[in-house]
Amino acid sequence: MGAREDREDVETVLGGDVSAFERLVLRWQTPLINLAYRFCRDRGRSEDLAQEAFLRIYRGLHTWRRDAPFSTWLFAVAANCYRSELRRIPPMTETLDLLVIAGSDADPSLTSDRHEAIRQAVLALPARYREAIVLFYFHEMDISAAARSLSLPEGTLKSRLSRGRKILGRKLPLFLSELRLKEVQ
Amino acid sequence: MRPHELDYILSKEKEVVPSTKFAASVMDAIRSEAAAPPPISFPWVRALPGLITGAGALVWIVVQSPAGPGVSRATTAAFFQSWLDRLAAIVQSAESTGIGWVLLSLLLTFACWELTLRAVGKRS
Repeated sequence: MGAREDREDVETVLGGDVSAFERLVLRWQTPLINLAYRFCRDRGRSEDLAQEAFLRIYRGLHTWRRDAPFSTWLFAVAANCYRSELRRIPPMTETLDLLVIAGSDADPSLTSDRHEAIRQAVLALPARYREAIVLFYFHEMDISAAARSLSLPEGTLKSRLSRGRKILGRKLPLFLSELRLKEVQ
Repeated sequence: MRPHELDYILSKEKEVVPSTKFAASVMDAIRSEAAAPPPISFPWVRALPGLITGAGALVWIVVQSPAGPGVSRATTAAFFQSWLDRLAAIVQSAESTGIGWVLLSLLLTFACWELTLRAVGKRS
């Protein structure tokens, strides 16, 4: 993504040309929708969340300090928006224990089903662990990028990641052992 | 579970493609946001005297109030009773000085003034 184009478009929007914001939307819509999808696993809602995030970005454009990349600020605003919106109306998901029961009935030959069940299980985690895991994998396992998006120190993010993974590992041993067997075969 | 298993599963996510109308829908929302008048800020300058007076009155009541640790309910009740007595005395003295007539005349004056303003407003 072009950092220089972002900066120029932001300056143009702040100068009064609202239509320049469309270029920012087109450039960032896919990442923001995908991030929202990882938070809620619902295509329709992920677009609603991303739209709300773009509105907040537009309103707060003047608060972006140029010393940080635009993308860092954009993801922090979007993550904050998604977290607050999902706290207000939580995503439709079962509890971890129910997901484990449902997952154990899944067809072992369908790896994609099992993977989806594990992703659903991430949504059933307590918010602080869920957010850490979602942002960590969204940023391709980059701890510092995830920490910046959540406005957390890296150490805090690491401990939340570790705790979240432990909960998942404790609750989902069956899923993962089956997966391991399949991968070995 | 080993961490790399989770990494393997959670790193592989299918990409969600935005719908064709998404950008247009966002821009519609942005344009209506840009066209909306700026929100009216709270009139702090006008409200400040009232707020200061209210806060001052509250502080004064708290300071005057005998409520606190070690103060019995009877003391608190007596404090409020003394306030009610004072209020009753003020009302009685107002009655004796004919304050009712004064208030009535003020009310009539205000009503005349208001009616006149309305009449003038309708003509103009």
